[in-house]
Amino acid sequence: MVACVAISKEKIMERGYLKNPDLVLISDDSLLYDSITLPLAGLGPSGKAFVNSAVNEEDLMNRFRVSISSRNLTQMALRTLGKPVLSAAMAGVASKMIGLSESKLKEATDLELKALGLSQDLVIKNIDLASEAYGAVPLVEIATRGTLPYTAVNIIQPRYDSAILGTPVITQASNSRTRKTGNWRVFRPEVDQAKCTGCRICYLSCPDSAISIPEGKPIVDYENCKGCLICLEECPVKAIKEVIEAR
Amino acid sequence: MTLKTLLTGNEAAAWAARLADVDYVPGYPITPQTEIIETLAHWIRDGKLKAKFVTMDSEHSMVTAAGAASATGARVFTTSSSQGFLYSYEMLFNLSGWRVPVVMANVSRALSAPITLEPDHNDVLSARDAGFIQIHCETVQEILDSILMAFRISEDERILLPSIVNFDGFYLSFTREIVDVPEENEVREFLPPYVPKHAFISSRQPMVQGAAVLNASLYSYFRYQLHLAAENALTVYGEVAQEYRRKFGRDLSPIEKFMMRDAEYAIVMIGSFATKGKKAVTLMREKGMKVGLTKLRLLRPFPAQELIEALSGLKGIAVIDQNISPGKGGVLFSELTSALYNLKQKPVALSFIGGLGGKDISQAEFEFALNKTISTEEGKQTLQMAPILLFTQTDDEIVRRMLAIGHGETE
Repeated sequence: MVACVAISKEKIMERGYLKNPDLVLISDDSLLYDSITLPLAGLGPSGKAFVNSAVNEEDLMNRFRVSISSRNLTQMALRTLGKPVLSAAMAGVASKMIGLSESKLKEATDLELKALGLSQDLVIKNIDLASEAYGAVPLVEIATRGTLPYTAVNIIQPRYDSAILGTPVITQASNSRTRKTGNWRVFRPEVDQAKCTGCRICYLSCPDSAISIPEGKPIVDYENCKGCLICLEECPVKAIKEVIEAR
Repeated sequence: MTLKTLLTGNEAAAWAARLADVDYVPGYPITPQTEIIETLAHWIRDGKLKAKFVTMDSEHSMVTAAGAASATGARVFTTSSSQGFLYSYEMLFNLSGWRVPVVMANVSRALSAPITLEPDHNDVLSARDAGFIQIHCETVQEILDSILMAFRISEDERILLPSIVNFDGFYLSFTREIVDVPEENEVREFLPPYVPKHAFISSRQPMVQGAAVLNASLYSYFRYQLHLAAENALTVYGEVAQEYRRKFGRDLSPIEKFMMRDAEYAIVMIGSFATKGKKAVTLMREKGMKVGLTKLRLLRPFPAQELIEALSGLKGIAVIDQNISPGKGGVLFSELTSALYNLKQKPVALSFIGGLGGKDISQAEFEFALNKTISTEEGKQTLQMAPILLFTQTDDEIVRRMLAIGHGETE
C-alpha cells in the first residue's frame, strides 16, 4: 500500500496504515499476484476493489472472489499523456467510487499538479485524464465496517540470540535472485536479432543487468527487466523496439 | 616481569592498545587526546606494534573506518575527545548496530560553546544511548586496565558491542602516575586474538553486513537484541573483572564502594574527581561523620542492582554530576534516582552540578554537598528539587572581574 485515506463523520482515532480497508484501488494488476504485497488481504467479504488491468472483471472476480471493477487506465494514460503515468486517472477512479463530485476532482487535480510545477498544458491533459477515468468507472455502494474489534495479542519477551542471527547480517548470498522485478513493466524491449550488430552497448547500459550476451547477441531477462528502455535509447542501430505488455 | 613506570593517562591508553595487539588504529587529532595516537603512531613506525595506523579526514570517517575494519574481523582501537567525539556521533549508533567490538577511548573535554579545553562529562554522556559499553576511569592505572577489559568484554559472544573507555582530559590525560604495565604474554592469556563468527570478510563466505531493514518487526528485533546484549554485559563485566583481579591483582568492579561499610550518607560520582571526593569523605570521617563514596566505573550497561544494594539502605546521597542537561540537571542523578524510584526504602537524593569545564570541586564543596544532604534528611532544610549548582563566592568574583575586562570597566 502506498497511500490510504480514512473517511468518517466521526473523529478518526487511527494512525498510519489501514489494515482493513473497505475499498482498495490497485494501479497495476501484477500486484495481485505478488506474494509480499497481497493488496486484497485486508478486504472483507463486503469490500470492493478496483484494478487497473486489461483483464476483464469477470475473470478477476472468479479468481480473487471479491467484488472487482477493472479498466485499462494505462492505455487511457498513454492515449492522453503519452506516458503510463496513472496518478490523475487513479484520482478519477477514487473520486467516483467514494462519491466525490467531478468538479471537486478537477479542482483538486489542478491544485496538486500546479503545486508540482507542471506546465499548464500538462495540467489540463491530466485533468482530462482524471475526468475520463471518472466517467469510465461505475458508482458503487461501499459497505463500511467502521472500527473492527481488535484481536488479543500475546506479548513475549525476546531472548538473546547469537550475533549471527541478532545482527542485520545476510549470509545467504544472492538471495535477491528470488525476487523477480520485471512484473510492473509497461513496455517490453524486443531485440531485432537481424538488425543487431552485437556491439554490447545495451548490455553495458542496462541498469539492472537484465541483458546478457551469451552468444554474440543480447538476450533480455524479462523476469527482471523493468522496462526502462534505456537499451532502446542507447542502441546505435535502433535494433530494439518497445512492445506494450498485454495483460 | 611487570613494568612499573610513570605514564600519562594518554600513554597508558596507548599501552593498553599495544598490549591488546590491535590490528588497526584510525585516528584524528584533537586536544587532549592527540598524545594517544602520536604514541601509537611512533610504536607502529618503529615496529613495536604490528598494526596499521591511518590519519583520517575527520572523526566521522575515523569511527566509520573503525567499524568497517572491525567488521572485517580486525581488532580496532580508536580515540577522540569532545567536539570530535560528537562529530562521529551518528556513526556510534551504526557501530553498535553492526555489533562490532571496537574499543574507543574518549578523553573527556567540555563542549563548545564557549570553546574550552578542560574536562566535564557532557561529551561522553551524550553517547549514553548509543549502544556502547561505557566505562569511566578514575586513575591512570584504571585507563590501562579498563581498555584491556573493554576488548575482552566487547568481543565476548554474549555481547559483541563496542566500548567507550572514558577518562578526564588534563586531570588524567596529561597527569603522570605510577602504572603497572602487565607482561604481554599474560595479557595474551587474558585477551586471546579476536575470532569473529558474525562479522568478517571471507571470499568463501560472502555476506551482507548492516543490511537495510524496512520492516518494523525485524527492526525492533535487532534493537531488542542490542539491548539484551548490553544487559548481558552486566554479567560479563563482573566475570571479566573477577578474572582480571585474579590475574593482575586489581579490582575493577562495576562500582567502587569507598568507606561505605557503615556509611549513612554517601557521595555518588564518576571519573577522576572521585579521588577528591574520597579525600573529602576521609576528612569528614575524621570528624566522626558516617559518610562514604560510591563511584561508578560502569555507566552502560547501568549497574542498577549493585547500586541498589550499595545505596538503598542509606539515609541520603549527594550525586555529583560533572555534566549538565540544561533544563533538567545532572545525567547521573536522573539515572540513579530512576533505579531507586520503585524501592519502598530509599535514601533522600540531592543533585549537585560541579566541575564543568574542569572547574575544581574543593573539599569544602564536597562537604557542603554532604552536609546539605544530611540536614535535608534530618528535616532541618526543605528538599531542593532543582539541581544545586556548585559555584562559590570566589568563582563569582573571578567571573565579575573577567566580565568587567570583557565589557570595559564600569564605575
